[in-house]
Amino acid sequence: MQTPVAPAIQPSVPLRRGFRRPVSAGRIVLQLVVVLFSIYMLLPIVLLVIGSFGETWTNTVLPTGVTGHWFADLAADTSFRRAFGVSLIVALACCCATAVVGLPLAYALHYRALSGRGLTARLVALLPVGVPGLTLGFGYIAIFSGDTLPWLGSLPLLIAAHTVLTLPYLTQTLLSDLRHLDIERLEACAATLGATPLRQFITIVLPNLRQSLFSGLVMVAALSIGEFQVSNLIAGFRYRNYPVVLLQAFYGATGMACAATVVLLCLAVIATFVSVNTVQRLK
Amino acid sequence: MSLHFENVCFTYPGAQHGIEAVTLSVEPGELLAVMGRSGSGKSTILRLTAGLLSGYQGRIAINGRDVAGVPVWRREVGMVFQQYALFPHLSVVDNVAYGLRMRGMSATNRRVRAMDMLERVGLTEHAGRSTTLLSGGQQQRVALARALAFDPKVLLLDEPLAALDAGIRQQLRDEIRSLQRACGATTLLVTHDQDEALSLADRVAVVDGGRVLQVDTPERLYTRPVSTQVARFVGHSSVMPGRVVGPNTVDVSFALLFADTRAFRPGDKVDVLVRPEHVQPDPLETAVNRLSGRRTEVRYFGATCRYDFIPDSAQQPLLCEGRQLAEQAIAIAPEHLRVLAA
Repeated sequence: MQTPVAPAIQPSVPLRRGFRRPVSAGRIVLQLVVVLFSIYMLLPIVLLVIGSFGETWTNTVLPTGVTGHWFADLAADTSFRRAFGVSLIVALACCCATAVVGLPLAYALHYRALSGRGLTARLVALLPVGVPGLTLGFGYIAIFSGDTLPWLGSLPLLIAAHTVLTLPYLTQTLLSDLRHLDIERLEACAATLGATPLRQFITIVLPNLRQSLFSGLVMVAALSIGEFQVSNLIAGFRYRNYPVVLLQAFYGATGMACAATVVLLCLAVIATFVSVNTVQRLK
Repeated sequence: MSLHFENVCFTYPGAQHGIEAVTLSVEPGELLAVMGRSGSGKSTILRLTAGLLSGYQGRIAINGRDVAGVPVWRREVGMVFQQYALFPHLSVVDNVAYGLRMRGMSATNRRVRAMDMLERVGLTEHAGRSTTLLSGGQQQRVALARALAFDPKVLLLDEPLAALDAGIRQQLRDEIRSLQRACGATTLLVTHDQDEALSLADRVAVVDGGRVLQVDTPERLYTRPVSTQVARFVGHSSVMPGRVVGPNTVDVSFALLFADTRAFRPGDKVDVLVRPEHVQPDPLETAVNRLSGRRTEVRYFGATCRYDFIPDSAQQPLLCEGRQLAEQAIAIAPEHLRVLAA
């Protein structure tokens, strides 16, 4: 039996063992930009986490000593506990309100866009994103500080303001899903099968929008919990939300302020994980 | 159950196109195909029947009852959409049972009925699966089962095979036909595919520019088209413009052809139509309508060949078909020449 012989390598064919693509200057610059951006994004968060466990932090680059009492102090502080509760109530109420208003609004905007008449309505719906928060806040002060509508500082007004601010984010999420699903074809099909418009909405539109509705509401909750600009202007002493109290904490002990910020950050991270996991499960 | 269109006109809001004076009838249990190119108005006919479009003139009647003002959900029409339109959040069996659920049937009964329909389309083992996991052909079968599950008065098929591969199209075509016959459903099929229309339908309506050009059996539509427009749309053909010069004689500029011209007077401008399979290759010298010339392009199709033959003095080639190729001459029997008004 003949032993197979490996073909001889011709001298003219260069061996390319361990060949690596040449690294271009553009690639290096790109990687550098990514690294710098990551540092820019992560450094404040890392410093906050370090600060929340530091004993003292005055006129030094990093805090000195290690402690966990800032979190204990935070839990014991009634103003923080109350602000945390207010933030959760406002976020929850805001989610309910945006869902009740946002679903039919997105549905109507979708059909107006299909008939070529949606531009004005869409601009109005997106206005809260484009208009600076300060403008909205001053508008609320002007309207609700008088004797006719003396609601400045009340909880319902805070919820209403958060609803106006966060509504565009939910409607945009729903609108992109409506476009993607080609919902009008599904509705037409349901109609031929005997579904009235209300039953089409309940049995076809709502179940198909559940993913975007959920992820949109998580975004609404996250935005509401972190909202400072308008809340600082319109929230009264009784209904200050978490970010407003948090700012005042920075005038006191740095460790306490860092711990309070870390709690807010944890809420945002949890919300993101819950959102991603639930959307994947719904798929 | 029957379907009747009487002088129905419809124009899309803000547009010029739609349908004009359409009169059609689909008899109980019949499958009528509406065939036309894109924008011809065929889908408009379907959507008007379903009630998905409103604001038409004329009369649309389902089983003798005028359906003007009857909303879609009360028309009792089953519709199969081009892209299936299966509900992605429901399983296969729930999709099929959806129409029954809307009619208030109990969960047990609708499941039994849905499973029966799935058995008919050979998808029983996929009942619990998500529709997104099915192939195109399987999805179309589910759509068909769903449309037929509640015994609709009329079944509407909107280009049901357009989104499928050629291989599965033939198989599904046969399945649709046998299921439609088994259910006895009065069916309106809309398609741009002439093979689909001719092979599936009892009768075919050719539409163009929003008007019905001819309604006939597939065979008569092919052999006796009423106009050049219909002839060009149904099957392959060569059309020779000419003028009637005498009894049963047409001058087509490069030859005098003998054909039946009883419907015309001398001097009338006409189009002379010939189907490629009716062209006889290399006939005897004495053959009627013998045209000498030369063969040009040949296209091989396995069982047959399609080729171009340019008669002497002619500008355009004639399309010919057969296993034997013409070398020097062709002939067309007078009974195979159809003379149509130009």
